[in-house]
Amino acid sequence: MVKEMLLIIERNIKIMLNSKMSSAIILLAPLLLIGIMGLALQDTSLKNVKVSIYGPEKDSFYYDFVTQLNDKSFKSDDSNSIEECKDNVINSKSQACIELIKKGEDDYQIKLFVDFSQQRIVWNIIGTIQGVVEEKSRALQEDSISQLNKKLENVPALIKENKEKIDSALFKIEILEDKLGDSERDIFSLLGYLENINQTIGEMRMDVDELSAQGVDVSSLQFQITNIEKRIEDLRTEIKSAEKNIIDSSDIQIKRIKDDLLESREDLEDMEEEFRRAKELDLNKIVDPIPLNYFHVSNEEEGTIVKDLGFIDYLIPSFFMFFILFSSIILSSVFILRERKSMAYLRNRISSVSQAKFISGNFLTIFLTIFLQIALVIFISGFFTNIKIISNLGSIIIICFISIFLFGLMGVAIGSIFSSNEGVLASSISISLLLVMFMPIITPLETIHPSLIKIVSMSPLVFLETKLRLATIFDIGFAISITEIIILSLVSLFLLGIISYSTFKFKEKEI
Amino acid sequence: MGDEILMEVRNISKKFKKKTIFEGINIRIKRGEIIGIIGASGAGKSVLIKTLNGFYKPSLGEVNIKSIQDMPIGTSTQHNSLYRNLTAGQNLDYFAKISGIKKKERKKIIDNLFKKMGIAQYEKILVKKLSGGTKKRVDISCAILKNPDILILDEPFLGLDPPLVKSLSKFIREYALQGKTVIISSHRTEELSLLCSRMLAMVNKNMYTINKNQIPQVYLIKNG
Repeated sequence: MVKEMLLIIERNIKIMLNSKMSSAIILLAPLLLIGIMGLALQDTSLKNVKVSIYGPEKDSFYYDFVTQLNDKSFKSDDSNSIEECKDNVINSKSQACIELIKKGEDDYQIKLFVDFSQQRIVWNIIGTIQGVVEEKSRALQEDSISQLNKKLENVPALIKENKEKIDSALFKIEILEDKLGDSERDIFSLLGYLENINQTIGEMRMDVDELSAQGVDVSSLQFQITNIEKRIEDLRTEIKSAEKNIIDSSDIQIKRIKDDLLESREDLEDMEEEFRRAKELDLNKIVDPIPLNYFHVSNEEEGTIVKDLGFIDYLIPSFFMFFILFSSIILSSVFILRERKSMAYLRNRISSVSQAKFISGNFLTIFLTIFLQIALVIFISGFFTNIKIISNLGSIIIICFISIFLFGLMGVAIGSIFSSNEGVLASSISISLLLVMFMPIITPLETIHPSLIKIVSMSPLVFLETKLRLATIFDIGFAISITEIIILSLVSLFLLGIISYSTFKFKEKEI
Repeated sequence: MGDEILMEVRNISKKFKKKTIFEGINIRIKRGEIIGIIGASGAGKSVLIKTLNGFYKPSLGEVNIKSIQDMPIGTSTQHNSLYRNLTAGQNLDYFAKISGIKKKERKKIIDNLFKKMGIAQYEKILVKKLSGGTKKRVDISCAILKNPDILILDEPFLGLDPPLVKSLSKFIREYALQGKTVIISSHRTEELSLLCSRMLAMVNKNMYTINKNQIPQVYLIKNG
């Protein structure tokens, strides 16, 4: 069995070597492919993206914005109307239309119109323009913060000035209080004088009363003394009343003013403290209170990507799987059909060597060819990527081995079923595309209909690609679950069934 | 030799789905005979040849071969059963290996065949670069690698110039003289009538034995 299979492999290799084009395609195609991919994806930043800009007011903000876009390798052109701007996107003259609306002083609104049918690029464009807008917003934000900071610095000076004024007012009140004290003392001495006068008058009354007792008619004098006494008493009462009215009320008023001033001073001190605290506060936190930073799970290096892994490195596992899938299915299906359509097929078929040996021999040839190709691709990619190949070579080989086996078998089944080049190519490409469509890199599982998630997650391509990604990016060794073993076995058995049925039952179909 | 029946075809029919290619064909072929099968295009000659060499199983009936060889039939097809991207030598070597010819004998057999068929100078040339006549000779060489008792040739004279037809006819005669049976299907009735010991015509899904001298008439009558 082995001898005959080796014979078939030897024949296939000779055929490939004799056909310079086949050998060149087998050896150079993967190199070319990986070379082009490396060249194309080494710098994935956007270049020469055309954008149309419509802004009725061409102020400094407008020109700054355009300059910033040009700095990001965008090519911008002015539109005369928003309709013209949008038409440019529809007619593919530009990738996006940006409308700059001025709503007021330093108050702008930016509207971005994009063509979402250009899925791969539209999010990059949105991201870049968003970046420019954020940069512009950040500048405005910083300007506002700086103005606020200046105000924060000015206000304490004003508070201090007001505090000094209050202190001066309090000082003046104290002088006023002193003066009021003097006035009180003056009134008191005035009352003293009045008392002295009253006493003198009293003495005069006693003298007059003595005179009256002695029979001197002093009634008019007595009357006058009584009047004087009464007037003095009234004066005393009025002075006391005036003292009460003027001094007491002034005292209360002054006390109230003083209290108010002290209260204001305290308030100013509180304000001063608040401003001091405000100055200590990071104003950026007001606009960005909860900062978000993201990291790669296997590395603490901040950013969208790990320091030593680039965009291309993250794509490589999917690219390997792409390559294995398409090469295995298309190469094996075309190979098998070519064998069946070969003029020599009849001679092989009527020979004593069984069909199973021919199929196995051909399958092994395909397997070795694709293995050689993928080995070349992996080897070459090692030069311009930073993925972990050597450290996890065993796991990578196992995953590639299973993938080539499975997809190669799929190709053999297709090549056994169809009898025309068109049928084989159309079905190979359709099946490959169907499988690729549900690869996580194209359609993440989380985005598809719930009823399909279970089925898609069982696709060997999905879990093999995941394993390859884990092995190359995270350096995780190969591990396979029972469910995955069952799936792989069932798919292989199903394909082997199709191959057997096609080979032995469809023999009667003339090619 | 002589009257020994080498191949007996009993009441065979062949259908592809509902399309009947031929039916009720009975042939007894003796050792040393050269049988010619003629018929119009699409008469079913090639399918009959592929049924006789074992590529197709008959839908009905059976083909019995009485030979002690493990591969008693050698076949050369209308379009030559060769790998275009192998050299003449590589084709012969591959088919010799597939036929189970041992390494010691292989080179000797191949060298002899190259000499016998006059194609030694083409040994290292890719088949796709060979002329039609040379390809036919390489193909026949592959068919007789194991010196089979029965050699089946489908349109062997197709595209050959008269000297090559003559040379191929000579080879067929010599092969039959070794006690081998040769079955030839062809349009070229004149060459067949000169070469074959017996002529069969496939007409209307049936097989008729015809007189060699009356071939043109019968052929025309049966084809309407």
